[in-house]
Amino acid sequence: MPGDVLGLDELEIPEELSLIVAWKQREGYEGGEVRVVAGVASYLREACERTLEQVSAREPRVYTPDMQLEEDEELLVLEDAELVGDSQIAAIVLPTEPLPIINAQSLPRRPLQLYAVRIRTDSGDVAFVRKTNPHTPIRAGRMFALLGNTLSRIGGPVFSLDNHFDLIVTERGILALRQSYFELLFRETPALQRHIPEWVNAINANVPFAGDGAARLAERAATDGRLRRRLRSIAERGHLSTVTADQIRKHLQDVGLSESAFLDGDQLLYDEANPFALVYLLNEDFFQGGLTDASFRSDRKSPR
Amino acid sequence: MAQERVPPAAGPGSDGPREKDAIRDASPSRRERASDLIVELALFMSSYAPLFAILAIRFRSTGLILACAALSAVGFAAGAAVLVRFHQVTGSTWTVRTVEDRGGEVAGYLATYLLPFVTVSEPDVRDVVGYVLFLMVIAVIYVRSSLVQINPTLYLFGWRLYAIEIGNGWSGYLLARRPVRKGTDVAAVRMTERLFVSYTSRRS
Repeated sequence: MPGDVLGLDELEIPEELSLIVAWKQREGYEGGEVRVVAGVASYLREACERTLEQVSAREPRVYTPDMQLEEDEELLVLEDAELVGDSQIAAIVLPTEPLPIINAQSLPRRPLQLYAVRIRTDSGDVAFVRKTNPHTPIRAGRMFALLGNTLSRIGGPVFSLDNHFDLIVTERGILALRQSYFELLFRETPALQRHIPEWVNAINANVPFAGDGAARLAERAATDGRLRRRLRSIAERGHLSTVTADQIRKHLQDVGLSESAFLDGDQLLYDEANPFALVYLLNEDFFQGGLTDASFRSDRKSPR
Repeated sequence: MAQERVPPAAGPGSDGPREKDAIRDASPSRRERASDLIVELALFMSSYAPLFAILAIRFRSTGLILACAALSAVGFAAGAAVLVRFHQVTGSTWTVRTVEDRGGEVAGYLATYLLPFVTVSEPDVRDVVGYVLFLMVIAVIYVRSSLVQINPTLYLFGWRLYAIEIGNGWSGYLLARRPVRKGTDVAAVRMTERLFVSYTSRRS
C-alpha cells in the first residue's frame, strides 16, 4: 500500500488543522495561514479523507524524471527527505513555526499558487496540497452576491475550495496524484541542483566529453529544467555504466543521426547551440518507428 | 530523518513591477495591525472591566456610576465575545519549545495602570476628562505593545498567560486554562499574529 511508504497507513485526520496559502515572491514562494471556522475545517477534513481514498485506490509508482503517470490509475511516490528538506514549498506547507496570518486585509495581490491543509500526526506533520488559486477574483464588470432572505453583495475576497488535493507532503517524501503539479512545485529544489555535477561526472567517467563539454553541460543544466530532468533520468537509470563509444556510434547509425555531430573520436561532443541533442541521445530518446523508418523523439517514456 | 528545511523567504529580484509588488507584499504589518485591531481593542476593553466595576462602586455621582457600570458590562461582554468568536475557529497543533508563566506581568499591569483610577471617589469634570485622556493613551500603548496579552479579567476567569517559543525562533503568547509544559504539543487558535489561545490541552 502506498500510504505505508510515507508512514501514512491508517492516517486519521485530526480536528486541528491549518489552512495555508502560498504565492510567488521574487524568485521563490511565501506563505501564510488562513484561519478557518469549524464548517470550513470539516469540509477540508473530508477533502483530505477523499484524497486518502484516492491514494489507496491507485497503484503506487516510484518517481523517475522520464515517467508518464497514468493519473487515473497510478500514484507518484517519491521518498526523498532531502528533497523535502530543501524545498521552499515544503517549508511553507510543513512550517516549523506559525506563518503570518492572511485575512481580507493582508491577502497578497499576487495570485495564490496553491493552498494546503497541514495536520499534526503521531509520525510528524502532513500537508495535503491543492495546486490551484483558491481566491476567486472578481472580474471587472461583475460582482459576487450571497442570497439569503435578500441578495447581499459580498464585500471581501471569495475563496473556492475543492473536495480533493493533488499532493500529500510529509517530511519523508511526497505522494502526487498529478505528476505535472509535483514537477512544477518540487523539481527545482536546491537538492536537485546540487546533484548536477554528480550526474554529469557519472557520464564523463564512462564516456568522456571532448574539451570542457562536461563543465559547459553542467553549467547549462543549472539554469535549464529540461536538461536537468534528463540528466537525472540518465543518472537514475545508470544504463551508461556499460555503454561504450562504439555502441553510441552504432545507435547513431540506427536512428539516422550524424556521428560527427555527437562524437569526436571516442569522446562526446557537447554543442552549446543545441544542448539538448546530446542529452536526448544518451537518454535514448531518439528512436525509429517500429513499422516505418520515421524518426521520433520521446519526451516521456516508461519501462515495460 | 527530517531535514532542516530552508526558510520560505524569497531570493533577490530586481525587475520593475515585480519589485514594486514585492515591496507592497513584503510590508503587510499595517494591514495585519488593522485586522488585529478589533480583537485588541476588545481585549483592552475587557482588561479594564474590573476597574470600571470598582469605579462604579466607588463613585457617588449617578451619571458616573451608570457610565462605569455600562463600560464594565461592555468590557466583560467584549472579552467573552472574543473568546466565543475564536472558539469557533479551528486550531492547529504546535510543539511548544519553551514556556514561561507571565502571571507576574498581570500583577504589574494592575499596579501600574489600574490603581491610579481608583484613588478619587468624587472626581470633578477635570478629573473625568483627565481620566478619559489617560485611558485613551493607555489604549494606544496597550494595542501597540505586548500589553495586549495581559488581561486581568481573563485571569479572573481562570485563563493564564504564557510566553512561548515555537520552532527556531517564533515567540509569542499563549492563553490557556490548563498548565502548559515545554516540549508538549498544544492545540491552539491564533487570535492575533503573536497570541494563541488554547481551549483544550492536548497530548504530550
